[in-house]
Amino acid sequence: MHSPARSTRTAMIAAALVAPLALSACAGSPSQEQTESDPTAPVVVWTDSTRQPGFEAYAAAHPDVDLEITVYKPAELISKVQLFNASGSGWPDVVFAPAQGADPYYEWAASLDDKIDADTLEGFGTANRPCEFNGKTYCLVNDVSQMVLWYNADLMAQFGYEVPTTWDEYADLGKRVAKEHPGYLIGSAGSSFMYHSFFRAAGCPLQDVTGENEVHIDATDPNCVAVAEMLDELIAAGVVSNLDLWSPELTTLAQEGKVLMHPGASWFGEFVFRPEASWAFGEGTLAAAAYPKWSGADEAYSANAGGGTYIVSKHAANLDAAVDIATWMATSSEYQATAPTYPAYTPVLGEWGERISADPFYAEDPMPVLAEAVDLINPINDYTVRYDVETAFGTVIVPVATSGGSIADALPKLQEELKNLAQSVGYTVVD
Amino acid sequence: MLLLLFGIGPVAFAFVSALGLSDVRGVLSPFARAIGDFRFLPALTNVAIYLAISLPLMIVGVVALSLLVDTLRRRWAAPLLLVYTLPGAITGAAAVMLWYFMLQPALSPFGPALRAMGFERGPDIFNNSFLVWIFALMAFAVGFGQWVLVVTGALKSVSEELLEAARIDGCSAWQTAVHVKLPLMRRTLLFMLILAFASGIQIFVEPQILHSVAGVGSTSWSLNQLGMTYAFLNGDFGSAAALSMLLFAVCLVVAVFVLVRGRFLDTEHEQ
Amino acid sequence: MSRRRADVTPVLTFIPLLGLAALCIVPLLWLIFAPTKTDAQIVADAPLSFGTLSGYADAWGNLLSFQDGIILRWLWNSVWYSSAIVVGAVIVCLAAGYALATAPVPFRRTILVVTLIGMIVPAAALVLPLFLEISALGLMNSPFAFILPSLFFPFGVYLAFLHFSGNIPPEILNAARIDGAGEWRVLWSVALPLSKSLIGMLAFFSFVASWVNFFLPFLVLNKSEAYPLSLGLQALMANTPALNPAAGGSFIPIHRPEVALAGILAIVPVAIVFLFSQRYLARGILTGSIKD
Repeated sequence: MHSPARSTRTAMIAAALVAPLALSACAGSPSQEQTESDPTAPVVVWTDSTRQPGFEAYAAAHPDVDLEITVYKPAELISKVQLFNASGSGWPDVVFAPAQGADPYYEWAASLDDKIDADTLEGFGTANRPCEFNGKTYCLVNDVSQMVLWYNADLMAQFGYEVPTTWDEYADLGKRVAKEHPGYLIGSAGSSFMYHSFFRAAGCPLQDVTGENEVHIDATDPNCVAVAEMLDELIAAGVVSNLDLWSPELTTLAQEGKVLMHPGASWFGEFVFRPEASWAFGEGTLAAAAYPKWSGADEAYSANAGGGTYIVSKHAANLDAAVDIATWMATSSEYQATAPTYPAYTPVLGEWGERISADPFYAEDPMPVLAEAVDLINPINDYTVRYDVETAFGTVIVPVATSGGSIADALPKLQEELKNLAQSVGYTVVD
Repeated sequence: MLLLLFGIGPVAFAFVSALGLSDVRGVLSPFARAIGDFRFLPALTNVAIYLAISLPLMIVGVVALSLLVDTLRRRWAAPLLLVYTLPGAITGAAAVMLWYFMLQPALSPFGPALRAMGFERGPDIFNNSFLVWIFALMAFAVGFGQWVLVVTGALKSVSEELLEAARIDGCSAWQTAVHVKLPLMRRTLLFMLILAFASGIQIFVEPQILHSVAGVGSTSWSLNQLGMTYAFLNGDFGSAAALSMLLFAVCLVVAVFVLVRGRFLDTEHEQ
Repeated sequence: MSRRRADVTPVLTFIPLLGLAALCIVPLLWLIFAPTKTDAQIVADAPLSFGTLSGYADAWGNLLSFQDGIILRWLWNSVWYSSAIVVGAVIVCLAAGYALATAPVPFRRTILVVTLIGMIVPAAALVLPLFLEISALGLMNSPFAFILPSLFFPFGVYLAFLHFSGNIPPEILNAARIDGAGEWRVLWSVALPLSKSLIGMLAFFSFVASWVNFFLPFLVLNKSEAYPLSLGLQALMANTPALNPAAGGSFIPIHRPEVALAGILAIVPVAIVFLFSQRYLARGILTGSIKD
């Protein structure tokens, strides 16, 4: 923006109205981790708007705790924490954020193993893995976005197709569709979401944590190449679209009823297939099947496309209340049963699923399939890392896919990008 | 009047503190880290190409438009200038959405034009090879109005007698523009060149917007974005400051060069 | 120059100028029409079609439903932050520019150059120093954390300097001084009345700069009640399915029509201020630099 007004951005320089004071701030010692909890201290909560009613419900049920709730942009958490760490003050006490923010690398999240009883933690099954770093728990997962194979039950019946149970069957079905019903789609690979639905689920090691600050990245692993070749072939056949998942072009195709099936996260039902402005599936047409099995895998693994988490600051003045709030949000049926996303905490699942099970929008109850998928998250890529593989896909793979190039040929470039990224945030990379 | 000294403190301080900060880990290492990063060279290339496209577009576009607007009567010029300035007022959330819709052939009011240019689908446009052009366009759309305002303002002060003299000497409108008006705008244009270069080399908003909305480019497409990535993602404020200092040094060199070569500080005019 | 040529020129001039104006207006029209439609209509209908007028009311109602109408609070914050900044910045720029132009300030040339340099310092260099200062002053989350730093406005100081050094004849000021007026009095009763256009420009540019400023409030304001509109709208967008359907789990009724309306809300004040200060702006900003 070449404008005079833009130059005023630099007016910030004026920070300086009191320059010397800043130097003393540099010298200031960072505040120590709280050892004693002050029950009267207010608890500062940062949340997104979806979780806000939950925190408000907690405040209403616990009038003795003073909550100060701010709705913020969760993606900004790490930036802010870096600044607070530099100045030694200002941290919020409880946040709803991506699991990345809990990484002990940022020296901010409180470890929760000795603050929450083991039974509660066990209630998460494997769903709390994104919060585990170096064997310790630094946050509580709110929701899981496991993958299932969503399909149009009417069309499948009309065409006389069986739902595939392995990816080989999926590819074969794709070739049949290309021949018998050209124009219909069985998936898309034109946005960075393909990392989760295909590569991450297949166990292509791109964020395979092998130790403290050590990660195994190998984009040319046979698992990765197999997936890439399958996608290249299906895109060429025209049955997997290389359009962006959110593009108006794909939306139009979907509204015209051209989507036969689409692998996707648990929330696709409510947020992709259902809304009028999105794919607008009619009542009673959408069904979910178990994720197909990758050839060579011992289970029909899918991936967790990332849910939100509750993190408690180790600097919280009222640490006990902060831990209690986070636990309540993640595990209480008062809140979780009303939550819009699939709960990570299994004991509340029955109550949560009642609404979905009774919903006539679905051709058949998707809950049993969803519940099964949640235990089958591929462990290879399920631990949280500090670099963003999805963004790297957007930079390296997506442009190749959307312009009709070969995804398989782009894998070495992805490897280089991820390795560099991982090293830039302090990882040792094992090929 | 001491008020002014408060104004100066900041600038000086920004440097001292940025450099002082790098002292913590040795003066050179943040610079080495900043330049040695794997994202540095691609970002540098991107910004260089962007400048090569954006600067001429901006300067030539603004000069041409200003000369044209200057020939109009005030009654016509004023509303045009207002309209030209409005795109610059659209920022943040609305700008993100607006650009996305304007550039999607299926949704855009410019759809027919986009398709005529061969852009059938979103990915045809949101493509890494067109990014610099899109950014140059975005920067032009946002900034040109205010600059046309500034330059036409400067043209207003060209005296009537001078123009009349040119007319009597038989200059055509084109000759008047090139030989009389352009030299008189010299300082304004140099000033604009410096600021446009500085904001161009520091390009940040456009790639950030497009990345967030269309997923193309990256959060380290430009050098300034890379600096923010150092600071916020890596927590390496030293490298961020070092990179900023480098950018700043380049701006300074260019500014001084332009000022000296353009005799900006001269007080006498030689026409 | 022939007569005929003179008649053709205006037409040739108008076509490109009007064409460009159309390119500027079409996106605005789209933005203005968007709230009249439903989210689905925005995607399905012709881009420049009009829905129903009640769309505005619906969209406004939906915007207000976000956190009990906090958008009104953001709007109010933006208005008063920007007003305070405009008043403060105009005073600072006038005083500084006047001092630089008329008084024997030591290191004047250096100060001027530094002011110019201030316009081209990259923001990333200032992130941490700025944050640490605000933090050390205990101003974090206070409106003053945004307002005070915004008062330093090098572009404005430079404009004021150009104006006072180039457009006001020193004889007038000297005459006042000989009459026994103090420096402040000269500024107030002699120089300022001759500087209306300068004040108009300073007000306009400082208003636009503070109204659209995102980065500084982002750094220093961490409470949603303290957000200005620029920061608030970004939080609102990040928290609704408006532009990011992948933000799974949100049933908040804020979609593209609502964001468009919020965008209009953000532009209108700039347009209004522009209209008010336009007659000053048209007088030219750098006239001083040409005449001196």
